[in-house]
Amino acid sequence: MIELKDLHYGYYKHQPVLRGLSLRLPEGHVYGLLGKNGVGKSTLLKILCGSLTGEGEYTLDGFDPRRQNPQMLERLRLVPETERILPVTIESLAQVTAPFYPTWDGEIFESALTEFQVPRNKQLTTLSLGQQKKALISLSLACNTPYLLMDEPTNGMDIPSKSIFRRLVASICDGSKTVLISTHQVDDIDSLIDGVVILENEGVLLNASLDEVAARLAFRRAEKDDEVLLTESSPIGPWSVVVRRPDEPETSVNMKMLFNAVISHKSRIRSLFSDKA
Amino acid sequence: MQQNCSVEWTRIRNLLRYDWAIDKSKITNTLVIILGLYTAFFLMAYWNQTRLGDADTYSPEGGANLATFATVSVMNYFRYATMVVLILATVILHRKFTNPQTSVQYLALPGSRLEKYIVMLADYAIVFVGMEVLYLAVWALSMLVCQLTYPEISWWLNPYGGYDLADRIFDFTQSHSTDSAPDLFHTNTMQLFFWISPFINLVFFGLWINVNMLFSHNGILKTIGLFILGHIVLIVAGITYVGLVFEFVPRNVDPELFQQFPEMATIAPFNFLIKTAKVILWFQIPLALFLQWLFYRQIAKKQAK
Repeated sequence: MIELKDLHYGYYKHQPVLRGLSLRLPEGHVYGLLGKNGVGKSTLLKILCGSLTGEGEYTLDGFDPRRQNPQMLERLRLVPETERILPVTIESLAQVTAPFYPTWDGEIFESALTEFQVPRNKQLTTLSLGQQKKALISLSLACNTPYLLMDEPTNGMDIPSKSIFRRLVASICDGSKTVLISTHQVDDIDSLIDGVVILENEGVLLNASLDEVAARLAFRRAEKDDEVLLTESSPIGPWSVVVRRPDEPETSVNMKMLFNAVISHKSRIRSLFSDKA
Repeated sequence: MQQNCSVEWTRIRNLLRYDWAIDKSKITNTLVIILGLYTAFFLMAYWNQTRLGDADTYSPEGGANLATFATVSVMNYFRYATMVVLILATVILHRKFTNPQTSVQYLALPGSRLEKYIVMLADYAIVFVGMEVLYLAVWALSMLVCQLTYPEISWWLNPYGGYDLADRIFDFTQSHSTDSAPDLFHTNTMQLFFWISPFINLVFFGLWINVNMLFSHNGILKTIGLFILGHIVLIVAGITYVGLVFEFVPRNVDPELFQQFPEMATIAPFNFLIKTAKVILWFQIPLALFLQWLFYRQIAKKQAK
């Protein structure tokens, strides 16, 4: 369980990034962490793994990340958006990383490398950006930790690799793992996540499961009496996010439209999901 | 904030293995480059010196000055290579703990902050010891070359070896081949300075990191500036110190010579200065550790921006 209460953080004294963020994420789900640039998505991930120190109460599985308790750090793995690419092979890196994690699973590592078609014996510095990313994601998946925090994991990946990424993440999620994926590439994760968190600097705009979103909002052509939150053009004509009627069937959630609707109708979304935030 | 201060050997070992895996090529490449440059420099200078000769060096057997040259070269090597390696270690550690692309992942590895700090100091110690081993290797190599070249001379203990370096830095003209009191004084003083120098570097290493952490903008440029400024102050202070003492105080600190020359009874003030300098020298070590501790405290505040 990840719990934040009134979390504040700023890189500079008078420029806060997070202002009173409160959030509760039960374990065993895959969450998409969305938000505009600069709202603190990456910062939040760094705070959760203890690399940055926020103010307020926040815990991960009951541990205070500020204390950098090794037992807590063994339970989580962070995939940063950018990280130093080391002049070693991914297998060498795995050899020195595995001992840190009691949950390390060599089979996951091997199958991920195979599926991603990452060369095992080439130095990471000689690989392309996408291959580097896939190698490092394979390593993090193999850590097999109960918490996996990923920051823009699909950046630089080609389209087939994104599908493999979704499949691999889904394969390790057995109900005991919590995955938090921060991304702007919402299309890459919409079939993977079962919960969505949309942030802004002042706090959480939306924290709901996709089931809850589908129960409250519908994604379809708008009709005459609909409460329309957003309309966008699409190849099949105008497509809208509307407040779902109680009697209509649920539609599948379009993450991109959901995000735009939440950003443009903050107060209405808050009232619709008032029992959640 | 209360931080976890647990220490477990297994995790420290894991962190050391991880560190070595990710930085070994950088460290070994740099050491090899330094060693290669030194060897090239040594051979070139040796060739040049044997060709031209040098009047201002110790030549008990009436010719060769290679022992002095070798010792001076090794001391030069030790001084500058140590500096290079310390800067390298500083940069590596700086990147590891403060660079956004490295520190986040490194600090998220399972291990308490205290363990990571211990590993950081161990990294530094390993680099420093590696440096010392190289120094000894180069010294042995130099002596071997000397021995092979002039087997008739005893090369392994040359008490005047290091003095010529002082001579060159301060442009003194007196010869070291005499036992005159002024020579012994200034050579002893210079020896003391050379002895201090690695420790001074250690202090500056700590200072450099710490000051660097304090600046948000152009931190590296500013700290390099302070680093150079600090060394200028150190050198000027050293020259002033030597100049003053050399001018006003009797010039011998050797007890045997003191007995031979009773008129040097006013030696006490100088001895006091030497003792003070030694106290200061030993003070450098806790000072360096204190600066490291400051660095440790600042990691949490400045990292990963």
